[in-house]
Formats: sequence, C-alpha cells, structure tokens
Amino acid sequence: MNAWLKSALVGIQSHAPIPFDGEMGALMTKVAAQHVDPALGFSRVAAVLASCRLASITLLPSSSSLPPAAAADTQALGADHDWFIALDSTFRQGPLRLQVEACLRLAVNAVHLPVALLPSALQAGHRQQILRAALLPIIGVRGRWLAAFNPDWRYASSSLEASAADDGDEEKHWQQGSNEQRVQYFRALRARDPTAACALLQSQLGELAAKERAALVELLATGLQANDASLLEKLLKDRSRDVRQIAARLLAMLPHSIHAQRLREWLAPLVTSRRGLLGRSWHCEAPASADPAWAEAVIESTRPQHEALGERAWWLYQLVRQVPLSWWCEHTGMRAAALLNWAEKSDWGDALSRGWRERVGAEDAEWIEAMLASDTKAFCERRAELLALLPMAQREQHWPHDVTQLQQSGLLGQIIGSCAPGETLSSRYSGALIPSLLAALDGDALRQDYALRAYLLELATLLHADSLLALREPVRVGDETTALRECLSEFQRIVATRRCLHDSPTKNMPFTERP
Amino acid sequence: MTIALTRDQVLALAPDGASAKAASGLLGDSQWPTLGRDDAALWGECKGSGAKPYQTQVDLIALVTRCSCPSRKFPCKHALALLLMHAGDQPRLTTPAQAPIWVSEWLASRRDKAAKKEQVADKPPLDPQLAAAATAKREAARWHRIENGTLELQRWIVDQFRHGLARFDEAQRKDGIAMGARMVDAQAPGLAVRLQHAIDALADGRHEEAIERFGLLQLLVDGTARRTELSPARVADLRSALGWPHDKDEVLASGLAVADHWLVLGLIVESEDERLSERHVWLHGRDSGRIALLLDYAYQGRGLEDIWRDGCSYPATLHFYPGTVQQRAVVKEQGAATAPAWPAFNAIESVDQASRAFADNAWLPAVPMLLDAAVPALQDDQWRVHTAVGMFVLRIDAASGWSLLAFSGGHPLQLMGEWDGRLLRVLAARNSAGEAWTAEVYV
Repeated sequence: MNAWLKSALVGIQSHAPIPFDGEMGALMTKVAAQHVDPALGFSRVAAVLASCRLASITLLPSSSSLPPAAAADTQALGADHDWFIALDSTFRQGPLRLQVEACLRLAVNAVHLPVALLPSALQAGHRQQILRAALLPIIGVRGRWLAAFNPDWRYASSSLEASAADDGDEEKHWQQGSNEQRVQYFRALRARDPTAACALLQSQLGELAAKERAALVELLATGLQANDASLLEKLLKDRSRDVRQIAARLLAMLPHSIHAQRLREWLAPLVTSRRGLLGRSWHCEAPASADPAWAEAVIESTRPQHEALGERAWWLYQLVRQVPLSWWCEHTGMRAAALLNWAEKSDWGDALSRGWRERVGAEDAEWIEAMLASDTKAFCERRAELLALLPMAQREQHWPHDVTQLQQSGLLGQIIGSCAPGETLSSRYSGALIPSLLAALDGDALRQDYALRAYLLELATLLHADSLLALREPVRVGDETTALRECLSEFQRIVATRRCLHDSPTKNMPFTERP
Repeated sequence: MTIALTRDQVLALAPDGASAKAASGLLGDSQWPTLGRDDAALWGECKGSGAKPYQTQVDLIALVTRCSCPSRKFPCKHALALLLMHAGDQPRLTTPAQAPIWVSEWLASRRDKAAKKEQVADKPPLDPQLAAAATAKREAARWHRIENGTLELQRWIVDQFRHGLARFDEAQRKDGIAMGARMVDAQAPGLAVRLQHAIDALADGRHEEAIERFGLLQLLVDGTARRTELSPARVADLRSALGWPHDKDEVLASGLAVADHWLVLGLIVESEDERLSERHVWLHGRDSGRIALLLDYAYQGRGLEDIWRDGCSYPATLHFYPGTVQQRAVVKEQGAATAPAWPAFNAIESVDQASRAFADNAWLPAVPMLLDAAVPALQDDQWRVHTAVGMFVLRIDAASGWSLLAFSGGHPLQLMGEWDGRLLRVLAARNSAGEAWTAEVYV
C-alpha cells in the first residue's frame, strides 16, 4: 500500500505497484493493464480500491480500557425541569452575578445542574475563576467526571475512579480533587473543626505548592485561635512571600503570639505622647533605621524601587499594616475618627493611612465608618471595598433611595462594587429603589447615558428576590435604538431568570433518575 | 380559513425538544419589538444576537413559517414562539391597517407560486408520445453535456496523478475549484461537490482519502460513459450521484410505496451556503423495518413544509427513489405524531447493512448507522464511540461532543448517525432511561 501511495505522491510515470494480493489484487492488475496511460490506470485502480474499502467497513478495535463511567446522580435536575431554560441562558450568556446566584439557588435546594448544561457551566467556570467555588457543589458527580476529560475544567475534576465510585466520601476531594476542591474541603473542615484543619495543613505542608499553601493559610482566618500560632510562626519562614505575609497578618491578630508582642514592642516607642500646655498630645515617628530582627516578622528593610513612600515611611507602613487597629485605640486612648484626624496632621500620614486601610477588617466597624467619613484620598479611593466590609443594612445607610440620585452622585458604582457575587441588597432597600428604577428604565436618561445602562443591568442582579415581582416591563415607545432595546431586553431576561430561579424547584419533581 | 391551534399542537410542530423549550423562553414582550397578525399571517420581529431583529412570519393558511434567523431547524424557535403566542391569544398580536412590506411580499410570492402551480396543473396534458420524445431529447442533451464534462474532469484527475499529489499547491487548488464550476455548467453539480471534498482532503494532506475520492469520481466518469450498458437501477444511482435525481412527482407516481409508522431517528439541517439549507430526516418503519431518508432543500428558510419532530412517529406513505439501494424517499401523506421508544439496534447488523449498501452503491453519500451499547469518549483529541463491533471516529463539533459525553456519563448509549465510509456523524442518542440527546450544531 505504501509503495502504491508513494507513487501517487511523487507522480505516476509508469505502472504503479498494485497495493493488494488475492482477488482484489488480480482485479486491480487487470484494470491497470487495460490502459497505456499509467496515470489513468492508477485512477481506475483507485476506483476499485475506494469501492472495496467502502464495502468492507474496517474499524479499529474498541479500547478495552475505557475510563470508568460516572456514578448515578439522583440530585441532577432533568432536562424537562422548569429551571432548565433559565439555567441554560444563565450559563451561556451570563452575567457572572446571575451565574453565581443560579449556583447558590441550586445549592440551597440541594439539587445539581441538569446534565445537558454541564459543559456550558464548566466553561463559564473556566473563564471566571470567581465562579468556581459556587459551581463546585452543584455540578454533581457527573460534572466532576466530565471535567476530568478537559484540561480547562481540571479545577472541577476528581479522579475518574472517584467519580465512578462516588460514595459521598468528601475526604476524597482532599486526597484526589483539584486545588479548588481541596480549598472547598478545607474551608468546610476549618468551619467545623478548626484544630483538625490546622493539623491537616501542618501535616501536608511540605507537599503543597506555594499558591495552594497561600490559599489554605488564608482560610485559617476563620476560627483563628491561639493553637494556630505554632503553625503560623513556622510559616513566617515559608519560601513564598505571599504565605509569609498572610501568616504574619494572622499572627498579629493573636495578641499572645510572640509575633504580635514583637510588633507592639517595635511600634509602641514610635507612637508617643507628650504633655504640653494644651494637654497631652500624641506624636508618631517612623523608625530611624532598619532592625535586623524585622526579617523574621516579614518586614522588608529594602524599599522597592518604585515605592511611592520614602524609606522610613515604608518601614512604618509595614509595621502599621500588621498591627490590629484596636491596638491604636488602646495605646492612645483615641477613637478611630480622632486617630484619622491625628494622622492627617502627622508627617507620616500617608504611611499610617495606607497601613490602616490594609489592616481594616469587618471587625473594625468604627474604623470603617470613620474611614468612609474621611476625605483622605487613601480612603476615598476605596469606599466600595470599605463598604463591602460592613453588613448590608449598615452599608445601605450610606446610599439614597433614588436611582437618579445614586447615579448623579456616582454611588451606583459604589453599590455594585461593594456587593460580592451572590450578595444582594436588602429587601427593604430594594423595594425602596423600585419606583425610581422603573422611572429610569422608562425615562429619557437611558437613551443617552450608556454607563447607566450597564449599571442598571448590574442592579437587576443585585435587587433582593422579594422585590423582583414589583418590576414591570419597561415602557417602550418604539423609537429606541438597537442598543437600548438590547439593554432593556437583557434587563428583562435577568429579572425573568431570577424570578424563575426563586420559584420552588420542587414543582417539577421527581428528578430524573440517572443510570 | 386560518387554523386555530392549541399550545400542544404548536409544540408538536417543534423539530425537537430543545426548540420547543427555547420557544417557550421567547414569549416575553421584551423579546418582540413588533408583533402583528391578520387573517392570512402572523408576524413579528424578535430580538436576536445580531443588530437587526429577526423577521419571523407564519402563513396561517398553509401553516408554513419563514424566519430571517440563521437557525437550521424548521420551524425555528422564533416561529414556534410566534405560534405559541397566537395559541395563547397574546393581546399584542393585533391587526394593523397594513401588514409590513416584508410580510405582504412573502405572502404574495407564495400566492404567485401556488397560482403558477395551478396553471401548470390546469394545462391540458401533452400528447404522451410527444411528451416522452421531448423528455428523451432533453435527457439526451443533458447526458451529452455531462459526458463532455466528465471527460474534462477525468483529464484533470489523471493530470494530478501524473504530476504527483505531493506537488498539489494553491494554483492547482484554484484550478480544481474552476473545474468544479465547469461541472456545474455541465449540469452535474454532484461532481462539483465530490470534487470539492477531494480537493479539501488533498489540501489538508489527507492523501489516501483524496486518492479514494478521485477514484470514486473516476467511477462516475466511467459509469457515465457506459450508462447504456447499466441496469435502470444503476443509472438511477449514477444520476443521483451526478446531482440529477429523479423528479419528485415521478417518484410519487411510480416509486415503491411503503405505508408504515415512520419514526424519526435523526434529523439534521445543514447549510453549506447561507441561503440554502439541506434537511436530512432519517426514518425507521415500525412494521417494514425499512430505513428511509427524506432529503429536502430550503432556500432562505422556504421549502421545508413537512414537519418532522425528532423522536416522533408518523403514519405515512413513503415513495422511494429508484436505485440499487432504495434509501431516499418522499412522503405523500403524513398523519399525527406519537412518541414511541426507539427500536432495538444492533451494531453488528448495522455495520453489515452499511457494508452491503456501499457494496451495492459506492456513490451513496452516507448510510445510516444504528448502534447499541455505544460508549462515547474523547481520546487522542478525537471524539470516538466504542462499540462491540469496533471504534468509530466521529464527525462532531466540540460543543456537541462535550454535550454527548456529558449525556452518556461513560455509560453505553443507543446511537444513530450517518456513516460516510470514514466518519460517523452522530445525530441522536438515547440512554438506558430513554432520555434523548440530539446534536445542536452539525458539521
């Protein structure tokens, strides 16, 4: 066969060798011999060969070692379920917040995605890393099995053997799962049993890559306890700078840890009070020289080349960003707002503001409110992030109840920026927004204001589910541009999808049994 | 007189479950900037992914739909949604003073076409002897043109072999495309399509496949030259392969008629050209056990007037085209649909039948393959199905491949596809629970 094929590749100048023996070979020889022109003879032999090959279907043997099949998933919704269309459009078209909400709705109802939607959902997770944590619990054993075949979906895959067995043993996710699945397992374990999670991390530290170490160490913030100190002290010498910084920040929150004590010892002499004519006043100084001991506390003595702060301010900032904010109040006796005012007047205000902004957490409610009220650039630039640290009810106190006012004061972007995917505004605040939202959808502002269109689509994903029924279809006069029509249709799609997903999924039970 | 439809009757018109579901999701007012109706038609503009909305219309008298969307399913989800709104008495479906021009033009063209048909039907029949003589003259002229074309094609093929396929370059590719155009001029469009496939194989470096495709073209050249020595069935095979099939009316009048309950095993609508769609409907006769292929063409969405829904069975009489393998058919009467389960498939038998079909007619573009216990897999970047009889390589787009793999979960499936001698194009599958899978995009 090869010689026959080769002769066609290089050109038929003489009779080509016949590719077969036996009856076929005899027929081909006879056909080829009928022609003086060897190329025409070849063409007719090709006709014989093609006809014979079609008539004798030859298949390669099936593989004897096919991957094991996925175990049954009785929680998967059927393709005839009422949610199917809504879920399909959600994972094909987004937006991300809607995708996260869909995952959460499925998880709350303890059901899994319909099998037919797994490829589009896994692909959405491939494109949006932030979706993955929400996606993992609702793809079921079929989704984990499927993901193992696509390198882009490895974040969701378990070993094929595990998918085939699927005995509900979550520990297998830690032993055989993807990084995302391991993180998910560790998060749940930490919430359930902080000591066991700490011990697990300690026992397997040497086998983890830097990125995974950082992700898992970060999770120790949940249920942080004195017992964690020994592991965290060890992590101060980790090879990864990210891991060292996370460990240092967590250790600083354990007041009795050696690290926290050292930080206080270094910072206290720099923040001193003097008694003057007008009473006691507080002063802040930056370190005059680098302390070699800082290296063990993840404080770098060499200022990065492009750092905006001067060398001493850089050292001060690194100390400030680790020390819990409560220390400042205890040490100076000042409240958060007073401390912010004091820092503004200090020579080291930039270092202090930056350090505090990085240090502030959900536990520092008074500091957050003070920072939100401050005009300091470092806080103004991060208002959405600061708001995100507050509970929703407190956040909403900062916002007017009118969409136009929110847009004019630039607060719509802040609302959107402060809400994490999966989070929604309160029922009360959403309800209060509805009249002005409908007016904005019907009004002329939307014709010109392209930014408002994008904001309103985001808002459609953020309204509380209770308020969705109050949203009627926007009025159209018929002269809308294509882009505006698309925006209004997209708004309606998001609202309709969310309404559907907040209907009970049990209406369409039972779920389809899988083989 | 317009037809009053219920929601269930509309859903029964859907080509598959996915279309019916998608149509149900298009009922929101926001999707339809314009809607209207009169006694003759329904129409609406539906927002799609493009800048311009799709123009969808339904002829209420003949229950024929047309849509400017690129969907290859007929009726498309937009037309189904329009019908669903009609069935649900959607209040926005009002009658304006005048229907939009795109609706009135379409209805007028349909009326003209119907009128012309009637005129033709009303004409007094020609003298049968004169008619036969005129037909024979036309056919002789066409055979003459085809034969001249095939000789030209043979020279070109033989030249390729003489010069060596490894030297095939862009200039020769263009030359080959021009040769294909000459085959169309020679009234043998089937040769043009086959030549294009051979050129594509050659350009892709699939030399062995290209040689075989050239070989089958050579067989058509020789068949054309020796057509007078061939049996009528073989001539029918030849004409079909040349792109000169028998007239539909002729088949309805004299083709083998089989009345049965015909179950739609698989269905595809493909478009090589944006304007022209080709629909394949593979049917299985409940009592006769026969397999039939309905092959229809639609120009810009017009023409696919029979409704065949995947997985449904219809009592119908089919008339088969002549040929050594009577596979293609036309439908004369079609009754109401039911939805029975698939019959049992047997991969070994199916491979035997496919082999016999190709042995009888090597020019068949594809034969049906009905596989049992078929396990899809992605191996070595190739979509495959493994069966007791061996492994098939699939012709499937990535999205449908992943969807099929997800559907199977690695479990065996019943699977229906078109086998072209090299690749299996999967059209439909069933799992052990009887659930259905159909490919969304066809390649």
